[in-house]
Amino acid sequence: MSTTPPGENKAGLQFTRYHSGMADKHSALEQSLDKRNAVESAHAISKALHEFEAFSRNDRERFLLSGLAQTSGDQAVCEWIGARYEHLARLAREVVPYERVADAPDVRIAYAWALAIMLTGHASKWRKVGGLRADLPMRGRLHKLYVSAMTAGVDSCILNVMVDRRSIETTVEALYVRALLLERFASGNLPPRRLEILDSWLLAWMGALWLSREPFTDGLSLAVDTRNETMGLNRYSPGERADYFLGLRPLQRQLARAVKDFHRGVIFPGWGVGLIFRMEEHVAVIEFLEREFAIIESAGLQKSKRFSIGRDSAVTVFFGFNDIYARALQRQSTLASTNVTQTGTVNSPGDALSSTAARRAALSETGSHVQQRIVQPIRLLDISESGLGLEMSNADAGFVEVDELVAVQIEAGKPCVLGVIARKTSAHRMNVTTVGVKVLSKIPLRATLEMVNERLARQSVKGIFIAGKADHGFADSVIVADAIYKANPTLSAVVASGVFHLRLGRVRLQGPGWKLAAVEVRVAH
Amino acid sequence: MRSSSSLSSGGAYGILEESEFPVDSDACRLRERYIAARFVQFPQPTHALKSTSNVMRWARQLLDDEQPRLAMELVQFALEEDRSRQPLWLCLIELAYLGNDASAFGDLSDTFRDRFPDAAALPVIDAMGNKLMPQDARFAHAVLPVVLPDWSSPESEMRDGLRQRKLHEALVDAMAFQQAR
Repeated sequence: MSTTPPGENKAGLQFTRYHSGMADKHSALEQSLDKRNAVESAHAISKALHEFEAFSRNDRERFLLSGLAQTSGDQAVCEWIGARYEHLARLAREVVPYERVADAPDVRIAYAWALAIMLTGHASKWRKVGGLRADLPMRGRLHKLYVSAMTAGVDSCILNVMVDRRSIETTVEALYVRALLLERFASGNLPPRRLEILDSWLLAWMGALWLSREPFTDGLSLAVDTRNETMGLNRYSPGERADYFLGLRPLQRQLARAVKDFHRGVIFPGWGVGLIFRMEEHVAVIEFLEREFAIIESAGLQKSKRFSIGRDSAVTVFFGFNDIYARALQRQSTLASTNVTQTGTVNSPGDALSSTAARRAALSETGSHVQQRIVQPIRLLDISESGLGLEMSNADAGFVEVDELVAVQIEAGKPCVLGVIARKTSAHRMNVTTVGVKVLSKIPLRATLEMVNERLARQSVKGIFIAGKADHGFADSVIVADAIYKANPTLSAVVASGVFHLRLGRVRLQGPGWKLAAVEVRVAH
Repeated sequence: MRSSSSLSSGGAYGILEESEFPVDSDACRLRERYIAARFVQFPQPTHALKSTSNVMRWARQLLDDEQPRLAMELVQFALEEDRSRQPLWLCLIELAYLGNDASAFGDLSDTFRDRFPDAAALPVIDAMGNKLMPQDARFAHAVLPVVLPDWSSPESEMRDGLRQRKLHEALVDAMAFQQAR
């Protein structure tokens, strides 16, 4: 353990005796609390929180700025931050007088609930920042806190909480909603910096985070059933059991407010560590929320198309364009009436190219060597409409890169899901890495394309079709190797019973060795 | 005109008031950084926003990529830079109509009417408004039947939707086959 004070090491964070000293302080605080006196105890915990936040500010900022290149020291400090928040959250929950009903709502007693809920939200966020698995009992704890605050009549007392030296005017109810939204929105593949930005936005939106006893008539509602400890905020469908509702429209209005600030040349909300993040991170949060809201809006329509997937299942995963083409999609061909079972060595990238282009294609080859080294099956952590989480050993995860293509066989005999690695986070204590995958298609189609040259000679090219949602077809795409894209060919493809001549349009997404390009149909038979 | 993916019912983000437009250099720089990050798929978007046909072509591509809200925001940015471009107002009005965004459509058509009181497109807008908001008195005097005007397509661009749709249908068939196996 290093003795360097936190923040003084330039090469990465170091877990020091100062860090363990803070943990000792919290343990001492726990011993000294008079938990029957909620007001005094909440005050003492709040003081400890401010001290901890001042102590850890530099660590937290440096961790969030460190990006993907994290050291084991970074990870150790991150897990320590999460553990400190969780410890303080547990203390705060223990001093909340759940069973006692106040004679009259009192902002000082309301603060005990606010602190407990806020800290539970902080702890949940830092678990995710640290790449740890979700704390399953957390939803139940939040529901219990909120319901007891309602019973005590303190849920809507207006009070101020401090978040990183900034005073935020809020209510117990708004903090409860913030914690549930954080938990919902952060369950996918949101990287730490974006999660931090999202949290600062939620804190700035406190005025809009209020619940109703009835579903909203102005737009859709999210709903929570406080009797169900395993569920958080979900899209409400009539007939479903729920006791509180959150309007989607107010959240969309808040997002519009944030976007307008960016149009005015202001980084919303104008405070917090997010001010020093790159603009791309803020834009990614806007796009993330737009996607999430769209998913909520279309959840009813998509229900029938959803895969039924058990949690914590073991899955087979394929990495890299070539291996996915050759093995994962072996039986997922565009030739709808034919089972393709032979792949062999035909259609190696570059088959149809000049020798120079072929060498370039070979250099962009990824996948097959990786596949042989990674231990299968891999653990599936969670899955949402737009992403999924995998858990791999650190050694295996070292073979795969962010932006690499990945295909996941979730159910035997069913189509492989195709995605791209959006995030890798290692939790060094457990020697495992969480890999966040953004789903590109639930039914990608392997296509044997033929390059059509001026002499009408035909040579084979590998491609993977991704059908867009729109019926007009201008959203359809194909994934090809880099070298193929650069060659700018006309391609012929057989899809179902039709024959098409295609050109590759603009690049919609790209990664090592591959490009996802818009498809422009020139001939259709 | 093909049907558009529906816009979020939360509506468009709205055009800045002229008084809200950034004037100091730091804010202008942040706005430019935001535009560049938001429209990363387009080269030099801040500069290219000056070309009306460019903006419309990109908006069309964003619609293809199933990003109607982003298409609207792009056109809004271009209008914030220069509010005199009538084709962009019409493009935005059509996007709001296609997205079934009554609130944005109403606001945009009011602004358009104030800015271009003699525009030939006004009867068409009234017809669209009457279809979208039959109870709204602003559009009650509409006389034309609704015919989608295709204001959101750049004049220079001719595309064959039939061939593209045929490929899409073939892909959907192949996906259905894979799903059913």
